[in-house]
Amino acid sequence: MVDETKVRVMTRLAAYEEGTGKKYLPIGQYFRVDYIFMQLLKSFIYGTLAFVVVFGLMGLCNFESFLEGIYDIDLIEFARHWAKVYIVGMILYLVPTYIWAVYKFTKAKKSLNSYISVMDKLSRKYYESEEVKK
Amino acid sequence: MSDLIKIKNNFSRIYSKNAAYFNPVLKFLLALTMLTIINAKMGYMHKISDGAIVLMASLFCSFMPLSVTALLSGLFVLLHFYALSLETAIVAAVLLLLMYILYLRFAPRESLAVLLMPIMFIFKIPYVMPLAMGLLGTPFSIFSVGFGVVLSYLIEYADVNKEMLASGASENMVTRLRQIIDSMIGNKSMICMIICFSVTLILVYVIRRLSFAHSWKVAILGGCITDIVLLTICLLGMRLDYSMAGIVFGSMFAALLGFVIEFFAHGLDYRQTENLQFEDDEYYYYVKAVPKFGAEKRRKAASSASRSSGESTSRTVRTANGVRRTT
Repeated sequence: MVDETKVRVMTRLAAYEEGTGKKYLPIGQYFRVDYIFMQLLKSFIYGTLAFVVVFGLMGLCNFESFLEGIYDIDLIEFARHWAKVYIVGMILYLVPTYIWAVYKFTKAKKSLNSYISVMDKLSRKYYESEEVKK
Repeated sequence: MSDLIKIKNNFSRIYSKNAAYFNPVLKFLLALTMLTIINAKMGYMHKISDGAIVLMASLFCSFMPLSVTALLSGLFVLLHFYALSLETAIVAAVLLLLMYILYLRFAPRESLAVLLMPIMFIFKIPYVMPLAMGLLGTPFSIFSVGFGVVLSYLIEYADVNKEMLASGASENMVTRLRQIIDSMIGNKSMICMIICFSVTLILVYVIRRLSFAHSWKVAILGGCITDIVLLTICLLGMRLDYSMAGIVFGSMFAALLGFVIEFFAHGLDYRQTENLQFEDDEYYYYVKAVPKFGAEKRRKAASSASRSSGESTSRTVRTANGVRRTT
């Protein structure tokens, strides 16, 4: 016979998994530190890529003037200047990423807690029905 | 007003019943409109301007998430730029890549807002976007609006200089690339518009979050006036190429659209406001509860239905953790 309570609970769980859960369930697979580290690593790679793209475009635009004055340029100073720009840029990108990752993880955990409690309720129901069968 | 609320309720009831059919149709129409407008405005690559291609792409988008529509629209823009000149395509590709890396990675839903901005520019009503994003988005939406403005000005630049870009009249590729970047960075109109729209968006967001009555309406009117005032100051002070009539009528139209958004997304009945006070061991609570339009009717209908069926009434309460059902 169909257990109405179980069907109701399973419907709620399925609705969560199809809706809000789609966003939060993958986050629930990580520990807090791992999730934040992964986001920071992604941002590091993306940030470096953005820097390379901008640097490449600027290099392309100023290539002729760079070649003309290559003997007058202090290359070490030039590299130091761009390294500074890169580091400052990365800090400006990674700090908001850290804040965003912490916020998103906390939000996901809060949402998943209620999902887990409903899941517990369902497993208790299954346990009870198996006890009755025995 | 009650007729409008009835229409809105009927519309939302029909939509929620048939969402499985409506969603693909709406996505299809959105993709078709966006791609058609992009082709009509740019149209440099004739192969993708073909109706059959647009129709197939729109059909593909109808079964995909909205971000795919945004991605495909971006691809169409890039291909048109590529057909016009490689340099414009490079600048647009870098812009779209930076936009994704720096902002859209964190807020993928806003990619559509970036691509709607050039379309609003084509219809001469870009003033709609800061109001709409202030009402529906977050303060960070200034990035999507800002990127949208840059993309719009790039499309405009390509349109104005298409003969020069297509003929390759300038010396070489590097020079042309530099010309495009310099014209974008030194474009005072674009920078002023980004600043004005950012201020408007944040103002609209801040006001609509306040708890006084009709805060959304005040936010819309405040945003509209701020837009007009700031853009007029830029127009007169820096002698920019905005049209005064365009600013005034465009902002007024944006305000009208803002009221439509407010009606569908907010719709509170301030006449039924309840001010409650109560306390527990730790706090004293001052609660202001404003019902949505039609909430009273729905409550009455639900209670009479439950009385007739002999069940107890249940209400859905939205909490910080999600939706919790209490009986």
